Amino acid sequence: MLLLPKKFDENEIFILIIGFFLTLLVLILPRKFSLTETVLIFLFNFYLAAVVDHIIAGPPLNLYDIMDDPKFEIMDLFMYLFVYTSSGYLFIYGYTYFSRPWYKSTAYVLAVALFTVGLEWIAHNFLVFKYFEWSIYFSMIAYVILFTVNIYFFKLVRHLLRNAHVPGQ
Amino acid sequence: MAFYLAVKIFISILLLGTLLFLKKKIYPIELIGSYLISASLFEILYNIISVNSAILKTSSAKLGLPLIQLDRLVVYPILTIWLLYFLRRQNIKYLQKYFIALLWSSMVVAIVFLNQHFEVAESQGWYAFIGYVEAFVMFVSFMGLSYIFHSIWVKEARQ
Repeated sequence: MLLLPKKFDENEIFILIIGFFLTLLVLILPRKFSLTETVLIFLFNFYLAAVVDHIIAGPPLNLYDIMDDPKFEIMDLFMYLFVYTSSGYLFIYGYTYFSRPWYKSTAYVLAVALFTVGLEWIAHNFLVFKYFEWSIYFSMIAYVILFTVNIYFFKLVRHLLRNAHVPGQ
Repeated sequence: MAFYLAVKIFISILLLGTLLFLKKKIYPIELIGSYLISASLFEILYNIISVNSAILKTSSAKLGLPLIQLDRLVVYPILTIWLLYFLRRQNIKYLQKYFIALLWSSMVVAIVFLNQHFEVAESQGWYAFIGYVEAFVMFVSFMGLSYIFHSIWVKEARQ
C-alpha cells in the first residue's frame, strides 16, 4: 500500500507549497495547447518521473532517496502528479516562445535546467532529497537530457495531431 | 541470467515490431497515450509491490534491473496495448474478449514466475492469486484511463 509520511514536517510542507504554486500557474496561464496535448505532456512527465526515479532511486542502485522513506510514499505520488508534471508543462509552455532559432532554444534549455537545479538544491536543504551516490552536478546533466526529450516528444505529438485522421469521419 | 536477458531482448524487439502492425489499427496518438498510461501504471504498481510490501524483490545481480525494466517498459505495456486492440474490435464476441483478458492476466502472472525461475525476482510471500489481483487492478485502471484519454482526443479531433 501507499505509505503516509513518517512525520509531517518541512519537506512535506515544501512539496505541498511548490505543487500548489505550480498547479495554480498551469491553471491561470492562458491556454496554448489543446487538451490532448496537455494530457500527453502531463502523462509523459509522469512516466519519466516514475521510471527515472524508480531506476536510479530504487533498489538495487539506490543513488538517492525522496522524502522520509526509501519506500513509495503518498508524497512521492503527489510529486509525480503535481510537481514534475506541472514543471514539464511549464517548460514546454515557455519553449513555444524560444523554439527558434536553435541557439535560443539551447540557451532556454540550459537556463531552465540551471533554474531547476537551483530549486533542487533548495529542496535538498528541505530534506526532500537525500543523496547517497548522487550529486547535484549529475542532476544538471539529467535535466538537460529530460528537457530535450520533452521538446522532441512535444514536436512528435504536434506532428501526429496535425496529421491524424479524425476517428469516425 | 544472460541467456534469459538475450531471450527477453529478442521478445522485446518482436513486440516492438508488432507496433508497426498496431499503428495501422490504432491511431499513433492513442498508441503513445496507451503506452504511457500502461508503462506508468506498471511501474507504480510494481514499485508498491516490490519496495513497499516487499513480497517480490528484484535480484541485486547486475542483470536484474535491466531484465525487470524490459518487462515494465516494453513487454507489459505492449501486451496491454494488444489487449486494448482486441477488446475494441467489434467482431470479437464478449466471451472471447473475456478469455483474451484472462490470457493477458495469465501472461502477466507467468512473467513473474519466469523471473523467479531465472532468479531475477525473489518471492517473499507473492503467489499467483496476488498476481491475478494485481492484473485485475491494472486492467481496471488502464481501461478507465485509456477510455478517458480516448474520449478527450476524439472529442477534440471532431471539433
